[in-house]
Amino acid sequence: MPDRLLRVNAYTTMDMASVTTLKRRADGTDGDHSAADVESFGVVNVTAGRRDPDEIRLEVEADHTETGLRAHAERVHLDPDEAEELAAELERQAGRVRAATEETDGE
Amino acid sequence: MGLCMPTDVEEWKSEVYGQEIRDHLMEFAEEGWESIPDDEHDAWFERFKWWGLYHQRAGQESYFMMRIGTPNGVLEPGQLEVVGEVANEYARGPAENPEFGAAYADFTTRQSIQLHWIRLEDVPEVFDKLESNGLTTQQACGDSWRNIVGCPVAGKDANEVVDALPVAENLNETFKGDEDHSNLPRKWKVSVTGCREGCGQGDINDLALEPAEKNGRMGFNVRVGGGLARNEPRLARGLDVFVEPDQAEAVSGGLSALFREYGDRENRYNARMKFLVDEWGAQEVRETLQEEFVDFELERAGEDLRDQYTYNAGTGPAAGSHDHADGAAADGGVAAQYPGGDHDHIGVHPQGDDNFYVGLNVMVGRMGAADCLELAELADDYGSGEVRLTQRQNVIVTDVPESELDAFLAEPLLDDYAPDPSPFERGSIACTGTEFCSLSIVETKNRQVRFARWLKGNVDLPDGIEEFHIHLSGCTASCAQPQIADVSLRGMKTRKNGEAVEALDIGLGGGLGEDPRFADWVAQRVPADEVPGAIENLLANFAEAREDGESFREFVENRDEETLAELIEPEETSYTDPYMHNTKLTWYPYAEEDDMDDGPAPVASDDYPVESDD
Repeated sequence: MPDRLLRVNAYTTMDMASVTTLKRRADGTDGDHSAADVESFGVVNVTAGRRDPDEIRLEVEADHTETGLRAHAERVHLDPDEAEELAAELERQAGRVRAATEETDGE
Repeated sequence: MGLCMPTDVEEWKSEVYGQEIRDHLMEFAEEGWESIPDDEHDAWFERFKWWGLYHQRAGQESYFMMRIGTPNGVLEPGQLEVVGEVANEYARGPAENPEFGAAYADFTTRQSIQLHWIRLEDVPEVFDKLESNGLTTQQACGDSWRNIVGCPVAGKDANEVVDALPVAENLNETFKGDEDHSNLPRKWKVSVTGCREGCGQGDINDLALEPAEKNGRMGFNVRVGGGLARNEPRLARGLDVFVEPDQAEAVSGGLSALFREYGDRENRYNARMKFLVDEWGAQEVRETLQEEFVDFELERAGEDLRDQYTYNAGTGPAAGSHDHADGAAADGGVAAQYPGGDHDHIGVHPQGDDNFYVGLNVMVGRMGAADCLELAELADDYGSGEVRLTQRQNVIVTDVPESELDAFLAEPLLDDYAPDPSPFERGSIACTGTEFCSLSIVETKNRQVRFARWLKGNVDLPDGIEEFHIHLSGCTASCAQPQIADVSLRGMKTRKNGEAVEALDIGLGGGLGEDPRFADWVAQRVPADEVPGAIENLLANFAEAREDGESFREFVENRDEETLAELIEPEETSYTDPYMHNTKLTWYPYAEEDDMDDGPAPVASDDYPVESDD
């Protein structure tokens, strides 16, 4: 079996992220909770070149021993605007989840 | 260079690099840690590497790891004593290691020595002491010729085909400090071997000279572009070049110059020689070497000895073992009590003269300063005083006369550093880990000691399996060479009982020899405390499922991934692991109060914490 594709060391953004690999069912239908989906850990990393970086890279690799797929990773290339848009949206949604969780916790 | 954008590191190197770094280093040492401007830390720490100094990880600011390069692992008489004294005096930090005490030296997989907790202010004194005894940290790290490795008993081995030691020494003397080769695109790792065992590990070096014969002349075949790091392991590729020993310098220098001119300086992750060989192919490297970098006709490769390699060859005990072929061991003498072992040079073995060498197991390569001093004394008493380091992090005492063997072997120190260790102790390699390294994500050395201890007490190897290598690396940088072990362990994280805990990915079936192969990674994120149980179950499953005479590596090669994954059954056992708690986030994994904020660093020259401004 091939090795992980993403480097994992102390500088990796998240070495233990929860990942769901979405798969289409054999009958061609799918949905939010397909029986074929696989939950696993994975690696998430955000990086840019050390010198004169020209893009932000967002990388995701689910543990391939769990997904049943050939080892692969996705690399998303972002310009600063896109990265900021993504960061803002992550923060906005984080705020919503935090508020909802705190509400629940307080009940 | 056209439009290329050099990396930060390349820019720092263009400002100050190589020999001249020393003047700055001495100035900072004089003025103290605080004199390095905060915004210049990265640049200076990168440059200090050229002089063998790595700044330790977060939580240990102001302390350095110091690497001493010992070419081919040879410590001349008296030098181990110097290492022990330096470790004893200067390699003491604010906390103790529960397995190894307060001061120790690490023997590395490149036959070098690493000391920790070195303070910048002490560097001038340490350099003085080392250099006045023929030792140096120069180019032990950084983008240049690293410590040259090879068969650790070169020049002593009764069975070697070429004495490679003068070649390695000449390359070291020629290219250490040579300004034409001191600023390369990336590190340049060289292996020179003349023995029959393949223990020089040439296949994982940027440049490998391996013994070969051509028309009755002995010399070396040249391979290039091996290496393990960056999740992109490569085996060195044959260049179809044969060199006699006196041509080794010209061809090695030519290849280093070729790498200097054509290696990738724009992207450090793509800079190593292996990627240039990927891009060009061995033939183009050969043609370019011939056309631009050497002024004589290169000879085609000679007949190599790879089919005789025994070191980490995955073939089981029947193959190799040249000991029994020569008289000294075949006569039932002391060496006969240590059968095999010439592959990794542990045990008692005859030299080419009438003396013997004795290889001693050093768990994960770490030896307490007091033990270093005692071993130095024993080497002096029983041998010539020379001690050598192996690429399996072990030591060898050379030049012991037969009449002294029994007395030497009866020395109490050899209870801890055994000439006949269990296969699990003998097969263990571990990198530095979260104790000091800023890349690692798990604890490694103490854990590997505990693994080996537990396996030794609880698990027997199946019939006929006498070697079993387990290599533990703290991250994908692969410093413990995990891809070439029977069981490869690499740092990861998982969740257990709701807690984030240290875990290991597991690979199987890697090794060197005539047909080297890298491990197949078959399990991910096994909680570290379940790994010994996983290995126990794996070996039991292997014993049951193997065909007659199948070696472990053959067994792995002959089975598909799913089958192999099923053979690993992680399980809690009587093994306990005190380092499950995400040690990366501590200032020191073994400290009583281990929170990052509890550490004393950085410290000023008087050993008191440096006051923060805010």
